Amino acid sequence: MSQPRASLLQGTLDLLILKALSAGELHGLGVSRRIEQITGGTFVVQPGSLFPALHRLEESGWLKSIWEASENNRRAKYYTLTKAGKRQLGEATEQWNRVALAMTKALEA
Amino acid sequence: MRPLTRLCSIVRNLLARDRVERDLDDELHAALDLLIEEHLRKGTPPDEARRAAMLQLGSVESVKQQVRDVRSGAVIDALIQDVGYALRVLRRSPLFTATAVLSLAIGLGGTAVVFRLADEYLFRDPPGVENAHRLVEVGRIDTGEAGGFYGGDGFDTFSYPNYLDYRERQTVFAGLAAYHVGGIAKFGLGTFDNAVRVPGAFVSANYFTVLGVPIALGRGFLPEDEQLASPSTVTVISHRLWQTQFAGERDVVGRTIHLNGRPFTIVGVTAPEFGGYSIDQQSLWVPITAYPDGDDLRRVGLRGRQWLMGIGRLKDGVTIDQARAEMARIGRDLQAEYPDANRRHGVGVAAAGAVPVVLRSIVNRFVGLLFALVGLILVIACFNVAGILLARGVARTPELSLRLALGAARHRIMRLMVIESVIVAAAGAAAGLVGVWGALRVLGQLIPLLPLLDVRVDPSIDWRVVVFSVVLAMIVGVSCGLVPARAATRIDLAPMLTRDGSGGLARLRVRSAFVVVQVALSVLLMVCALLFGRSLRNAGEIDPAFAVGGVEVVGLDLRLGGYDDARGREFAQALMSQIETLPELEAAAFARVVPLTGEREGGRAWLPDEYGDERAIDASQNIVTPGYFRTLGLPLIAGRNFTGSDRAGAPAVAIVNETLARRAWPGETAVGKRLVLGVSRRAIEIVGVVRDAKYRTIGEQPSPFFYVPAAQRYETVMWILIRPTGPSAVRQVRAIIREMDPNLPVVRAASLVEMTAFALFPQRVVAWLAAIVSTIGVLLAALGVYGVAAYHANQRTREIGVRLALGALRGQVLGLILRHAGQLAAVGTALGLAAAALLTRLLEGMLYDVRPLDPVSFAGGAIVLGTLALIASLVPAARAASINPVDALRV
Repeated sequence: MSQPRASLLQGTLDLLILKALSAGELHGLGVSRRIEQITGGTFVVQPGSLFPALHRLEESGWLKSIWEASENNRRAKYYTLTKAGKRQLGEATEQWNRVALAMTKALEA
Repeated sequence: MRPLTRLCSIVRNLLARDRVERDLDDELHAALDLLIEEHLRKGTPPDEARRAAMLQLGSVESVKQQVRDVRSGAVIDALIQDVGYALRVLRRSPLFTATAVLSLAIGLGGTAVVFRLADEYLFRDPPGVENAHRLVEVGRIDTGEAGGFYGGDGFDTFSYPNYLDYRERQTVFAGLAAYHVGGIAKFGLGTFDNAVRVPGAFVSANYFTVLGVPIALGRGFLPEDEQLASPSTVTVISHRLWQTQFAGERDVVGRTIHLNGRPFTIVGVTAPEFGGYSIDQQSLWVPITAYPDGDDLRRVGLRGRQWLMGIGRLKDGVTIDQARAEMARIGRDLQAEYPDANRRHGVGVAAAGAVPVVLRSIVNRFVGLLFALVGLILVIACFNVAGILLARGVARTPELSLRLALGAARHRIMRLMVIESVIVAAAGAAAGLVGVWGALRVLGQLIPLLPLLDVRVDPSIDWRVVVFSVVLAMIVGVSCGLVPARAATRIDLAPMLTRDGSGGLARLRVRSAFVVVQVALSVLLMVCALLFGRSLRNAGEIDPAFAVGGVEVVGLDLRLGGYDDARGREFAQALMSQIETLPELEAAAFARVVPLTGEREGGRAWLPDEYGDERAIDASQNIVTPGYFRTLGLPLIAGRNFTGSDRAGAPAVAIVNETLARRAWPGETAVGKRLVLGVSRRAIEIVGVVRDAKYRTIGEQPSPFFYVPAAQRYETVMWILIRPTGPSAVRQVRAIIREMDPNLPVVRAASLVEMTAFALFPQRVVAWLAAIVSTIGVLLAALGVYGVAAYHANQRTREIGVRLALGALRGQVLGLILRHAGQLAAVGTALGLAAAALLTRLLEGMLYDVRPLDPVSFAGGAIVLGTLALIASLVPAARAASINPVDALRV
């Protein structure tokens, strides 16, 4: 709440989480691993940011969660995209592309 | 986010908090276990693996808190926590809480009661009436006076022929109805051994159509019901009357009932809510032309007999000004066509309202004054609560400093303090509403006792008054809490944390300002209360010239028993001779008017050789039996009393008062002289002169008055005045009446003291309210002065210690504290007196024999406040002066 950059980072983090989950269900740590992997290690999401974001997205209706057995037979909470979440991913991606394009153009000008 | 999803989340988070928390806990621990397992798989030793995993995840508790903060309803959750905290804080200082709640309860409750009454009787549209804002009242206005009429006094009745012409000629109303309520429209609903008095109205046939009142059963009136030639004796009754008197039986339509002894057929029942469009309520309606038979019926057709009021519904698109212009034109035309009957007879139009037009300005002022009084006490209570909160903010400075230093957000602490004050205000509103409930119950019992009007009685608590109180309490709570909260959180942290600190001077200044305002407002209230009190005492000290105590009154209206003139006269005579035989009575009499009840029977008189308005003596009269003067103890100054020989057929006689005698025959003796009365110029001989008295109200100036013997002028309304030897003889008189005619209802039975109390009813209400409110205000102000003085003394403890150690005298220390408090009280009092000087002028009409700038009241207000302020500051000052310098410096 106190960092002014929060909103920008938050938006980015949300998009990354949605993207990470677009390939299928993952548990919390899985999401963080996946983001690290698809961004080539640029973004390392700390649990302090990850879990609040997951809960927020779930409350927004973009994610849903279920308890399932993990790969090594431990119970873990798995997140998947909802229909609304998929739609949101599409919209946010489009939005991001526009911003990125505009920013690139602006900075090259 | 979709609102519904969000709402679901909020509800889930708040209601199933335990489950949500457990889920979060499980999730994080599962994540921790996963991490540990990964490390173990990499071959890390178990202890190491656990440590590494925990480092990686960070503090589980902190992650949890971060999740909690983003949850939906996090704000509400925090709010609940704050409320819980505030409640604990409030419970820890019960004295503060009780004072604050009580003072706010009085302020909020008072405003709510006045609001409820105003809402019920003034603001609300009459129930059962369609589109009430398009209704206007039409009445006669006196064109002899300068200026037009715009809703003030002098809105009067017109005659039936005039009404027919208005109805015929007007083009501005969708319909124009006429009605008559009041004295003669009280019906005796005779069902043999139990006759009841029912308020009703004579109405034109289009009455229900114009008002848009649905008829629930049967029919309304038809044009043919309103015919002078062959009046139909039909009646429409209210839903309530149907339920209470006829048990809601469906076959009530077509049934014959006896009204004032005459048979009427019930043709319809109105929709449930309807009871007339003003606060003067009716239960049954009868066509205008069914006005009592005989002579009276002939009078309905007279253009000079004015007894009807009009109510019209404006046509769509017509403004009230257009209606006013057209009705004024019609009035001028009718003046020209009937110059005799319509002299100075204009027609006025005013918006219809719950209060009759003639009373409207008085009622509005009265209600405004009540609002002002209760509003002032509310403001004082607010400042009081704010002042105490401010002081508590100071007391809590160390705690608040610690919280701020630990990183609590300032807005969060402010919110906490505002929540505290809102809780206090809410509790005040709740307590206030309980008081409102009680006050309304008491009022509900008092209102039916009001004379002249049959007011709708149902001032119970409803949702509007609850909403009003809650909204007002929220405003009060937030505004009371905000200033102290801002002041309390503006803390310079460093010195506060190290020492007890003395940086509270700014806050002392804010608080002093609060106290000054409180003092000023209570001085204003005190001055008003003293003005009203003195006015009431002056009024009470006036000698009405007769003995009010020890007289009882029983009211009858012979018309309610269906008596015609001849039988009525006979009955009255028989009744009086029966009453006179009662051994329990010292004296007894009939009178048309009971003195000091606000009623007046006008009577213009001329000297025999004089004519015209300019020469007329505008007098009032009463129609009495010979026992009247003895019953009231009014001394006869000259001439004789009425006797049995002053009966119908004998020469007409009258007794005049001193003022009339002086006015008509200055310097001469009045006995033996003649006067002519009324338009008929009936000559009467003066047989006696009686002492001047108060007739209509206690505050009136001496005015010309004459008495005529009841035997020579029959009246159907008669008040039996008795002076019993014992405490009461009403029971015996009632028994006689019941024995002589069981169908005749007693309109009213009360002591004269009770009946005359209504003469000063509004003044009494205001005086009592002002007294209560100003006492509370002054006590609260004294409390405020005490608080400031105590705080001031406390702040300067060390300084005082130093002074004393250096040899200052205790008296000097006492003076130090007293001087500060004295300054506040003086400034406040001066401001209060100045405000009073500006505002009391508005009270002028309600004061009797007291000038608005009455020096006694002003000085009294200042002295009361000054004395209390001195006492209030003496205690802390004395405590400061008795400080042991060693203790003070050791801190």
